[in-house]
Amino acid sequence: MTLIQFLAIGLTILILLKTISDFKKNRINLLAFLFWTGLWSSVIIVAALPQITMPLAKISGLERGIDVVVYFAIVFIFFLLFKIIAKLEKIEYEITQIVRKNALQKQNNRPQKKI
Amino acid sequence: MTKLIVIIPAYNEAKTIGNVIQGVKKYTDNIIVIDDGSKDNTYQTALQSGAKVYRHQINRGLGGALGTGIEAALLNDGDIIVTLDADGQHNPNEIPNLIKPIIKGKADIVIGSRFLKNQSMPFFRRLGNYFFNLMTFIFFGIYTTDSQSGMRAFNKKVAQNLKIYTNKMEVSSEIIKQVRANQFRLKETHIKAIYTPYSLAKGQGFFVGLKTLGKLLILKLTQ
Ligand SMILES: Nc1nc2c(ncn2[C@@H]2O[C@H](COP(=O)(O)OP(=O)(O)OP(=O)(O)O)[C@@H](O)[C@H]2O)c(=O)[nH]1
Ligand SMILES: [Mg+2]
Repeated sequence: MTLIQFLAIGLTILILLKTISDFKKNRINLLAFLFWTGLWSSVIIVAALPQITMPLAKISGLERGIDVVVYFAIVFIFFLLFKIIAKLEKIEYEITQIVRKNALQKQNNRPQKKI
Repeated sequence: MTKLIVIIPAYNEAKTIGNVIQGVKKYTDNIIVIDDGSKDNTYQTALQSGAKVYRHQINRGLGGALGTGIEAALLNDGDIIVTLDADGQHNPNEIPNLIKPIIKGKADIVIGSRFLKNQSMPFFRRLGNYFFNLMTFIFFGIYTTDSQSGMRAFNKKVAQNLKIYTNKMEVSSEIIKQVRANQFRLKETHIKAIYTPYSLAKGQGFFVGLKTLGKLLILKLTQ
């Protein structure tokens, strides 16, 4: 086993442990737990036995199966990024709603002119 | 009687807001200013000029300010609502022409367009505006000659049904998006584009344009 494999497996196991502890503490729901456990477990398997990605190489026409895995990882990161941005937008919207409510209420409390 | 309310979103516009309010007063006393968390005297100036002022505790951007303005206009029983900028880029004397199609019942929403007649505008602004007209069309399926105009008028029905989710400059395109979703009758009237050194210095540049485009893409993908 190479050093990089060793590091990758070690790190992923830590992340997996964190996922399990998050689930135990009810921070994530069952669906998220299953998804992340599945994902990180497969990362560990691929890191330990890279040759099992060989069939992927055949199907995709790429030279090494691990390349396919890396490509998918990049796509997945973009997907996550998109999710985060969408969530940020939602939070921004919610902040605006609070600020708006406040502005409208304050106006009612200290009446200026009637229009 | 139909009640006309003019909404003026303002962010750090103490220098110009007084004049804008005076100009609007010829047409209505029902003036609502949304002070979008300004750091200057916008709030006091607007109040002294005789507007009803709502103040955002923190800056939310044009979309946030317009949303508050529309809600305030409904709370104040407006029948026809006009929006115009606080930086002096819009001429209040164009209000009667802008609301005419609504009074006559020929349109639900009227956009004041700077591109219906030939007039001078800095080249890159013109280019930017064409670009956003095109993007608004590609994303939301309606072509207007001035999708980014801040001067518009609409009736109560539109005010009640507009759901504004965006916070910043992308709100102009979002409103056009909703025109289509709600099947509002849209008209455009000619307005003058006033470019003073003040408004040019304060106005929006290339990077805001990029951000706005990004936000429109998110809006397109998430809804
Ligand atoms: N820039 C900016 N304007 C705001 C904000 N909130 C409200 N506004 C008001 O929105 C109006 C339009 O803002 P401008 O920055 O002039 O944008 P614009 O007129 O679309 O762009 P230009 O053609 O470059 O002037 C003005 O009346 C501002 O005071 C904000 O957070 N930022
Ligand atoms: Mg401006």
